[in-house]
Amino acid sequence: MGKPKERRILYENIDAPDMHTMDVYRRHGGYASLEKLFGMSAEQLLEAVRDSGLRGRGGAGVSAGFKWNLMGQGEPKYLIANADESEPGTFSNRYILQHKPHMLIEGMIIAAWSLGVHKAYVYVRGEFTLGKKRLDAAIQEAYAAGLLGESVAGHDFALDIYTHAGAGAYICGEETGLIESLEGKRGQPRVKPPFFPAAIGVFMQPTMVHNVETLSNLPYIIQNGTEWYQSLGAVYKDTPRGVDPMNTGTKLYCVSGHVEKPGVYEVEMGLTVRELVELAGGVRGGNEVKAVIPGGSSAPVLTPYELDVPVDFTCLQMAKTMLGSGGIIVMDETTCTVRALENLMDFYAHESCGQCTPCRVGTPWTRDIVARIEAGKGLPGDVDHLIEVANNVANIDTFTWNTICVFGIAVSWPAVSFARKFRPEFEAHIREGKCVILPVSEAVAPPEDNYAWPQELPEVERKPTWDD
Amino acid sequence: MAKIIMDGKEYEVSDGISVVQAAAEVGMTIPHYCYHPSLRAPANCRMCLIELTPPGAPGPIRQLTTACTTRVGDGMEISNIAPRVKQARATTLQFLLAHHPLDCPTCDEAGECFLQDYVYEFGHDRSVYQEVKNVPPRKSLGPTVDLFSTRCIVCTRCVRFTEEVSGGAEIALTHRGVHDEIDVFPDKPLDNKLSGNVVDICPVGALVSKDFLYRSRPWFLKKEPSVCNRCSKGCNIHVESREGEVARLRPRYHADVNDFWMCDDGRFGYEYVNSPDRLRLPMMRRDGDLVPAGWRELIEEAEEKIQALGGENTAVIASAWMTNEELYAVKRLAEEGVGTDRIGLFEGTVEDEDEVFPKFVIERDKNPNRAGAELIFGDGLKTAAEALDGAKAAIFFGGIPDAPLDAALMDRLTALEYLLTVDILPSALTEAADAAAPGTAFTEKEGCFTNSAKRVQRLSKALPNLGNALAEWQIAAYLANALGAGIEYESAAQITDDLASSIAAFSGAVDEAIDWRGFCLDEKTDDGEAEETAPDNWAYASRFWR
Repeated sequence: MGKPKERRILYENIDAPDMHTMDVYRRHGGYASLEKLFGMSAEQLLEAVRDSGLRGRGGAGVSAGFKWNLMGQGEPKYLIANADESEPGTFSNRYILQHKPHMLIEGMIIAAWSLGVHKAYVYVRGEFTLGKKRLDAAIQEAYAAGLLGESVAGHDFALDIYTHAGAGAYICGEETGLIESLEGKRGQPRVKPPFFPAAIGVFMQPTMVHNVETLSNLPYIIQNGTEWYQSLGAVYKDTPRGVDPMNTGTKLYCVSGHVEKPGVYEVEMGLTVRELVELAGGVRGGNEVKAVIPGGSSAPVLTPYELDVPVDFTCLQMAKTMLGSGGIIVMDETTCTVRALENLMDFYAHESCGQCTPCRVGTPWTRDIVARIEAGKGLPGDVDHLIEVANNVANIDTFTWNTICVFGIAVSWPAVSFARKFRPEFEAHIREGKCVILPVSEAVAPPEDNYAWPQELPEVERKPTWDD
Repeated sequence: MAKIIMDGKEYEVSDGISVVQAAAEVGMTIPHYCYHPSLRAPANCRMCLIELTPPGAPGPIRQLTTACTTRVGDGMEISNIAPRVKQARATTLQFLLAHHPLDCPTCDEAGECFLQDYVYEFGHDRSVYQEVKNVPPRKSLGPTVDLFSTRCIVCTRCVRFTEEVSGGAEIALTHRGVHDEIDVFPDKPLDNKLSGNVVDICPVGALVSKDFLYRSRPWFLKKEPSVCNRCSKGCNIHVESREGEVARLRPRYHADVNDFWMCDDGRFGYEYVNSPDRLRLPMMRRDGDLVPAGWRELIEEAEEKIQALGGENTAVIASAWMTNEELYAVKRLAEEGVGTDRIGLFEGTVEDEDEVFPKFVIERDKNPNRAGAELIFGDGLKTAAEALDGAKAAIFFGGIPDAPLDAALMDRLTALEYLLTVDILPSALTEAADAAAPGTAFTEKEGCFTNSAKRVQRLSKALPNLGNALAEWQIAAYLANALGAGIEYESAAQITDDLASSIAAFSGAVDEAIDWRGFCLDEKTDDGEAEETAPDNWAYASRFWR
């Protein structure tokens, strides 16, 4: 079995000069899937997407085929590409918008055709000025080439795509918050039920919201076939109820932090955290790993004990964390985990939309407790206090949340996991009354008493071999 | 009806209502802040969390559910008492109190505050919050409402009220996260005729009425159900008084009349009742001046003058601000005592158009009981000026503060040889009078108003009569009997019954039949089955509307 290596599909030729223009994109095989697309019925397409095992890349990892099945019957229907990529540690969609926007348009045409959508939106994060500029230009090119508009590629199918720039709120990446924002309101998530976007979405109509990366997978599934896509990535068996065993395809891993070569790595799913860190050149200066956040800052942190967990949806879920957006943040031995958590909590306290009580108050509260500990003003019992407050927003142990949206989880999970897994370092801060960076071996709580251990990982049915 | 199981017991509740309303129907409290049955439910306070077992499910769903957004369904099981429900509610309260200033001793809301009540019932007994509290500023939102931002729990009821009911969307949420603040836009204050309602729907002491601020602790207030007298809509209200003065008026729920709302004209239009100038003693003109007198003197003089000038030359002017009972007594005074067909109706303002809001209408006719007067007097009713035309004497029932007394009417009044007025405040009218008798304001009346939809609604006597004042029906009966009629009334209720049996339009509207929802004169002509109506909020209102 070879060492994991990159397998570029979405990112193939992404660095080709002028890849963001239609000519170059077409020269590299772009829009080829449309030939096949209009020969397929909506049902065939739905089946193809479902069988491919494609899971949403935005965070929750819901099967795309399952989601398409839930789409309501009302007319008109809408499709939204969620390009509000704002999870700390995540930066893969930005490159797609900047360098391969036509891939997104192609994916949206496929999804729209299958779902019977004639109006689609791309909600672009406000800070992505270059990405938005290039996407707008690409959409204009697509209109000029007859790929959008009254008749898509000469077929009896109309599709308009509009872009909408967000104003820089993290919560507008949550699909119902995004929808409210798109409607021109305050970006505050809606209550589910009843406002499941597939039933009641933007302008109260059935709406499909997909991440940019998810949509970008569609052209390749259509072009190369379901079976080809199924052969990529890892599939597990005998997973517990509620754990989807499919991890097909490649994933854009955004590796950042204390690695030698940070960046976006497109790899078939199934490699472990340790392998991914090595792929990114290893920890800087040969340092020891202290902590790894596996899926954007909202995912519970992993300790050096947990580096052999595969970075895919299924295994991370069973390791009580999540793949989320695929933002891998690596921290080495020089990191103060209390300071790291303070940084995260500061972000969440700033970004909480303030709509519902537990999040509005609980988020800054956890930030304040962590900040106090970091400043050396922690009190005995503060670690338990921190865990309790965070768990009252969303409980990591029972997997419940008292908030309207899953932002509660995004706050609570990192807070609780940092405090539990790096408890000795937190306690040292309180004891010494100042910031203390403990060596890795001392900073991490013994896994046996603190978290799911031994790691119960599912049995592998199929996994990439990375042989040449 | 839907069968639901709540805390292990089976109940039948109305179809299609929220679980909060269903619980209220069966007499249980599900605590909540943001939910209001007449507004959209954003489920943001997270106080009404319940454990829900959907019909047919093997067990409760993993997540706690908000009762406000869940509609009841047959076979649904709900738990208010599961440990995790209790814990969730307690922690929500803990969060709500984290930044709360705990200034109950100086807060207007104390005593009728849902934060106090629910913390007492569902909350923790101590705070674990050790961080710095937010202290947003107190601000004025408009001419009638102040905001103590520190007490605000950001339930957004006021925001939704201005969006959905009053329609101006003046109140908005500014900033984000823990810095969320309720505010108005610069130079766009909350200045509409429904502004006072945001104070009522505020579940805590954040929005306060400038009119009532620091005037009384709520527990000192005596609260009586009544009906507003500022237009013909007849909004149901509570008169809250302290030591013989009206402290505030607040709307009382009525599904078919005013929902949970009332307008500011009514809400703040009570000052005249508390006026120090109110007439307290019967007055008679002696040597050009009105001087205090006794009732017997006044009535005897009136009887003499009317006998001398002739009953047929005497006009009797009733007011559209009098109750049905008073109007009926005046009718009997005119017919049986004075013996005249010069019966006129004195009215307050009538505007050109109704004021229409998305979910509320302020009616153009500013007289609370025109419908009653028209039904009681029938076709013989003239305007005040018509009735006075050519008359030599008049008995004038006023009682309308700031009534429009135009020059034509004043000319006719000053031309009279004898004028007896019954009024509550000194005015040009009483200045012209030969005798001025003190009457009662609507807070002192017993009886009923008939609103523009012909609903007879009851007022209750919230305040005692001032000084030697008598109710208008007593004055009418007193004078009629002096003129030889035999009217024997001991209470307003007696007149209600008499009215129901004598005037066809009021048949059935006996005292006992008029409950606190009123008695609709139009409905009784409908035969056949009652119409299916949408679920109303009576149960909710009786439990949660203060």
